[in-house]
Amino acid sequence: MKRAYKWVAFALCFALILLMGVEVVPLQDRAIVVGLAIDADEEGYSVAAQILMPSDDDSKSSGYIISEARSETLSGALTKISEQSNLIVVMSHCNLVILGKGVIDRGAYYSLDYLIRNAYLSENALLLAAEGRAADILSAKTAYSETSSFYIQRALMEFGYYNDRTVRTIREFIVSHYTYNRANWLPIVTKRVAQSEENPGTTGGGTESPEGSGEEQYVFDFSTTAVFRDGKYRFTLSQEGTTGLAYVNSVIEEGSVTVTDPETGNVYNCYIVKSRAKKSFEPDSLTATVEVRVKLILKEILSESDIYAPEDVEPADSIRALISEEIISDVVTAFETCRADGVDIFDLYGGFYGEGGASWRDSGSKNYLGDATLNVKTDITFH
Amino acid sequence: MKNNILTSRQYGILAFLLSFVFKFSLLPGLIAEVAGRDMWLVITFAVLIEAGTLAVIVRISALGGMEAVKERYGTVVYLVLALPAAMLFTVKCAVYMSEVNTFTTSYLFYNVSAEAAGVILAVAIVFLGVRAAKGIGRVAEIALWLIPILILIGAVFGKIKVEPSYVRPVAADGIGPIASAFDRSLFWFFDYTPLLFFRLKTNDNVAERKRKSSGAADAEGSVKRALGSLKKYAPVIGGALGAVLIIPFLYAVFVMTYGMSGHLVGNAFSSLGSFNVVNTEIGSIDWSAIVVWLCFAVIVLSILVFAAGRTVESVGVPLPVAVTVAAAVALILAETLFFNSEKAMRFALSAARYPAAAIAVTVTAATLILLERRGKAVRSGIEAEVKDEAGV
Repeated sequence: MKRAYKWVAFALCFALILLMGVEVVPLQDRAIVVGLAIDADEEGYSVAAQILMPSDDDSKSSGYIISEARSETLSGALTKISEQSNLIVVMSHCNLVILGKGVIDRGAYYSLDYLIRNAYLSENALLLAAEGRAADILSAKTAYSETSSFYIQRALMEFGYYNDRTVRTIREFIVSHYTYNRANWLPIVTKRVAQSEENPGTTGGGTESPEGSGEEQYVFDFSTTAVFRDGKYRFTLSQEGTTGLAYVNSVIEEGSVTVTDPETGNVYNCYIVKSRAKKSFEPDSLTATVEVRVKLILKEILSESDIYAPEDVEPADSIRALISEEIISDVVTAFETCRADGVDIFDLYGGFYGEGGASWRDSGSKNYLGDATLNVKTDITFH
Repeated sequence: MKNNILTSRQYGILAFLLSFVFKFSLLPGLIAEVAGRDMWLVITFAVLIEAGTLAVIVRISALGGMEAVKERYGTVVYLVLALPAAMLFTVKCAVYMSEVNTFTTSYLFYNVSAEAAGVILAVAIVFLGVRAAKGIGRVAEIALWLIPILILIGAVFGKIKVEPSYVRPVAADGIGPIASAFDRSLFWFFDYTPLLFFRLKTNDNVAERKRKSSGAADAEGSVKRALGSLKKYAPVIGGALGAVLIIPFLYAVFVMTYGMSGHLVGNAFSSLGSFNVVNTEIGSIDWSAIVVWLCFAVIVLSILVFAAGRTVESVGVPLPVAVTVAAAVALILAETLFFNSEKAMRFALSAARYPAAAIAVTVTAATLILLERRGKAVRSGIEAEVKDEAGV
């Protein structure tokens, strides 16, 4: 009898799990968003969502549509996209958010409330800025992938450790916003034509158009950076400054450094195996030191006089010094450009405060950024 | 029925889980809001106090736990102590269940309602609660193996990005914010109390007890006894030590990851778990951290409903019914009063945290006093018996 009760209890529990666990929204009723472009004007937000559309035909790969809606808020716009498409918008696969110039000017941080509350987005989604309309980037046909958001993600996730770009998730952007100076930055994505309409399949770095349609295809560039302070956009950092920022604030595992020997005219190109920076601070003298440790492989020497032998794996000290100068110049450019606008891009306040504690904060922190000295050192080794 | 006996290994694992699990959902964000970068100091202080209470609770469990109070002082005295504790466990279960439901529907199944998640989880919680010490202890032993798997996945796929300098300076604003954060988080502390309802299996027999009480205290014997005792309690000490070391360490990692924005984090374990996220173009695989936390949370909730059910059992209600009722009350509270984790959080931050802490401390202290008093009497009797036998 006791055994019968157990079976009844088991059957009830099983039924309960089956009934309660049934999917509320089946797969075909969901709009799976893989990229989001957010633009803003005086009237509110315009949100474009790149939505995966499963193909009915087995021979074709899945395509996508761009669905756009306007509202006073981001969540309001996404609700409208749901209404338009008769699908439930699902953000759990969205790994890319592009902010248009309007959003940047309005204050990027303050537009992100909805995105921060979404557990998936805040941890994993990449955040980028666009020079113009973000929707134009999202809807651009790329030369290397059918879906622009996948192309950008690949460029920044798999190959994001180049020295000429910075990569930021929403979380990293929020963390920087809560530093003392609220200095912040986002990579700017710009598009350029890889294959022109007039001459399909022949120009640029793009592949040949599969259909030979002549439709313009684009590649994206991430070599400049939008700099913020207190949530507001201040200026765009040049490619040199972006590289300097990457040397100090990122771990770099790709990219290269090219220098020219002024005496011989030889050009040296070195591949970056790994680069990371170590910061140290002396609060009393307001001196910050950044040591950039770079491991390089000498890849190419262009010389008019000779082809170099395999044993030339390490360049002379003079070349090493040129590489060092190049890196220091990039870092100093990033720091000084930002300092001129009151942006503490390397969070010197955090470093001085960490070392000096409350006494430094209470007495020595006034005009710390203007008075600080930044020493940049390099430690270059060759593989 | 002796369905509350745990081996020292199971006891150690449960001690670790009880202290660990719900300190990594809402709590880090709440502490960060007040203590900022010093949040790890707040939790260090808290886990050290908890470790102190665990020493007392282990002693009580070794003396027979709350059941020994019933055996020696009767059901009325037992109920006076156990009923407030059972109520506390049910309310804690409701608050924690609300956290689990929100976590499940936010991170795991975004298209399932919190009500549905709550009911399904409650089935697992009741099942474990009914299986009592044997079931809970065994499942905890198995679930613990998920931790090395989690670390392995993190080591293979993880890209850890932390900024150690965020932790400094330490206590720059004095102890005010630290004390204030400790005060507002009281509800999430003293989580070892349900272990009062378990007995700790020891190998002491009467002869050994007689030997111990005979006072034949040569130095070698004392050392041997001390070593034997240490060996016997080693898993429990390990569990407590694990909690004392790992929890503050992970809080420090949390600060290194989130800096001063920690107050925006909803579930710390899932967020910290993102170190083992495998990012793909169409999403991220972060299930390992989520599954581990959820599994541990179910075990902790089953301990709470078992402890609450055990109290009701003493008035003649069968344990399965008592456990089901306790879980049902917690579930109803979680799905009505604490409909989402924000409401549960507001309750836990209210003045309700003071009676919660007071019940945990008072019941533990009173139980120890009662058992030690009777223990002294028992020991005196044994000593007299030994003296009689010796003809002194």
